[in-house]
Amino acid sequence: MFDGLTDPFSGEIGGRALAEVILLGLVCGPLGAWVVLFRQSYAAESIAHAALPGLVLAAVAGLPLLLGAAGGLLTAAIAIGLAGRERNVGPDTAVAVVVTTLFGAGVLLALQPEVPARLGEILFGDPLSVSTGEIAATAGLAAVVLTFLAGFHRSLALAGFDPQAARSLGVRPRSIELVLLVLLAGATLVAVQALGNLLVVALLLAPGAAALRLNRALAPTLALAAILAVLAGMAGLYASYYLELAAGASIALAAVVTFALATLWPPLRGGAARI
Amino acid sequence: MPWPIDPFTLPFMQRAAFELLLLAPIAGLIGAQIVLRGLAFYTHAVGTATFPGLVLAGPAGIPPALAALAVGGTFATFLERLGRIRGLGRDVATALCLVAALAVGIVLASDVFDSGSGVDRLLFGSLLGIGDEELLATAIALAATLGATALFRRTWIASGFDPQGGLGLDRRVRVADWALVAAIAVAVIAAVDAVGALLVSATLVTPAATARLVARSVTSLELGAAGLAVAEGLGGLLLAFELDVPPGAAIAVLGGGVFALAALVVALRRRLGGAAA
Amino acid sequence: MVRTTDLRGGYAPGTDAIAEIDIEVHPRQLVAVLGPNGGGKTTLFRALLGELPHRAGAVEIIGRVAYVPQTERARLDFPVTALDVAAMGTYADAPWYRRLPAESRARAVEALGTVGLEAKARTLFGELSGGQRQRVLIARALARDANVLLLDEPLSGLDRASAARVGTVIDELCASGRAILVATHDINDARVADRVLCLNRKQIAYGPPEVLSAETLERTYGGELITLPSGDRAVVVQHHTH
Repeated sequence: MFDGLTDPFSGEIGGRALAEVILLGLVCGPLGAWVVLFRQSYAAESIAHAALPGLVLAAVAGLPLLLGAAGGLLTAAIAIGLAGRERNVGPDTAVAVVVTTLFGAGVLLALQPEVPARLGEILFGDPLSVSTGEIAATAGLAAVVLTFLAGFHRSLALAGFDPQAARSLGVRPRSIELVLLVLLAGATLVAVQALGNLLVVALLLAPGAAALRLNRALAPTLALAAILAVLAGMAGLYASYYLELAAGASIALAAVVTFALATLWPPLRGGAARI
Repeated sequence: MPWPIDPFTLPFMQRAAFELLLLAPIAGLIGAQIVLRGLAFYTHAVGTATFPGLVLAGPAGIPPALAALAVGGTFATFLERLGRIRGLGRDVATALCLVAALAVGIVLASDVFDSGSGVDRLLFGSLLGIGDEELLATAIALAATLGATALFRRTWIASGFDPQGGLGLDRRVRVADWALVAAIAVAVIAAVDAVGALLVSATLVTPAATARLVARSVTSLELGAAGLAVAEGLGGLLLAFELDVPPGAAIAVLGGGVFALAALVVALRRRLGGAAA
Repeated sequence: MVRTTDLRGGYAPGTDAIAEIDIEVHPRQLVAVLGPNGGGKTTLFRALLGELPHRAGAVEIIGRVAYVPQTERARLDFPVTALDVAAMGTYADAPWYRRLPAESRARAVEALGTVGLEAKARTLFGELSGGQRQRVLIARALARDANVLLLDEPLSGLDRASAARVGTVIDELCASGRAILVATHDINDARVADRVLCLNRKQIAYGPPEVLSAETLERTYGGELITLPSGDRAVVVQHHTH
């Protein structure tokens, strides 16, 4: 019985997948909770999509994926900012146009016959193919993101719950939101290898949203989000091992199911965190 | 025949072009409402949600349009229900439904497709392989769109402009809103054949967004969006033919380029106009 | 003309957002509706429009009611002209599947004329000034052939000159035979109305401006009133809500 639980993680590949999934859970859970609190779910979705051409270019050029994705995201952010400034183009539309275009560009690049990168892996990820180097990078990035979250904790709380009071106390909500988006981009870069461009959002948003429904105090919610995210990752790996399903997709589904179960919980009274 | 025309003597190119022509009025009429009311994310989500339906359609022998309609419809209803749960943001619900649909589709697809190419077609369009069935489906979608527009356009514009209204249109607005959601779903399903589940915005949002930069009336917005949809569609089609890439991607990139150019011109004119004044 | 008897109602069954409203407004009367944010001003208007999900008590309205929202609510980026917006007031005239009769368009033009903006008929709504936009929204209500107008803070955000022009339009409309209710934050505006309704979920007071005693104001605004040292100006502290 115990063997059944540990079998998926016993080999080298399984062990690395487990490490990656745990690291991702620790990052995506709490960060996702903040993203949901700040109502930036659409941004999270878009950032993931917009990273595609950068990822593809990096894969083509043999550069580390992180570099390509970072460059791609920067371009996307600038383009979205510029497009959104046009008075007749709302932020919703600006993001849609920029992201769709970049996404299309990524696909164009990836499907050139000379390109070694498999589009499928970039889009859907493969936690079972992470290398030790990639895990190290994930660990590093995770450390950075978690340090920031801890350091900015009070500012995030203030800016998220009470922007007006935040301003009077010297915290600028706009800047905080920007920090959050940068962290979001960082987490996306980290998670893309395992989950792929399209499914990253599941691990980012679902555990955080679930934790918010189950709890009220901020710190326990963030911890719960991390736990749920790690559990979802492991559940996905189990499903992949025993049911022979695509690993990235299984993790994504496990995360969403977690959230679905959480919605069965009665909503918090007193109008706590409206997500 | 000179180059731009030459490929279009091929029958499959002609069918593809015809599909784009059928899509254009939809892109114009519904695309206009999408950008006026900020429904781009919703549109993208519905598009993505058709993916699992499309995966199942082939093996199950159902016409893809029907499968897409079933899944898309379920998605929209589910989203509506989720939106009513207290304390749950629309955005989060949309994003999670979207990714769930995608994940389900991928899990199904790994059983159904052994190569990635089938998935590519579903995600990025198969304009070059359009059959008569798909053309018929699009024509029906067009008819439905024209009907809905004739009935509800006035109300859509009035309530989009000012949701609070107080014009005694309350009941009508509720029906019209529901009709718009349905119309978007229909438009998405029509577009999915051409540009794929992940790129429906390339047809339904980008041309309308570009037209919006300069349109001074809703009618000119609709006409501009339709015209751009045709032009960008045909251009992307040519690119896809020549470069052997998915047509959806080519249309998306072309559309984005046109948008960027238009935005630049508008911004420059404003800058220069301001300086001269 | 508007008359309500013990009007109550809300958005969810069993909870009343407003209660005990007893008012009577005659043509040529201007009523100022005072109250804090969330106190029920908009809810009252919706109740009068018949657009409140749950409503009990008696409402008697002779004629048609139209609502004029604050300009900030309307979208500035919609490609619609002033005339288009005014015409929206006539949309209820025909079922959705019929074309609008020519007479509706004429009414819209006339309504624009009444507010003094016939020259701006073809200007895009978003290109008008704040005061002009407010007047166009009033025109939209007029095009509905309404003789009861509900105005939601029509002067907020306007500079002195624009506010004065809008104020003149409102006065003229009132004098020409309409009953007008104006939701406002400005106690001084209330002092020059024909009647004042103080509303904080329940009706606190209704009558000529004399009812605006310090005590009434205190009950209306829930103790957030600060009377400045000179004694004759009271300032309301906006309550901080999430």
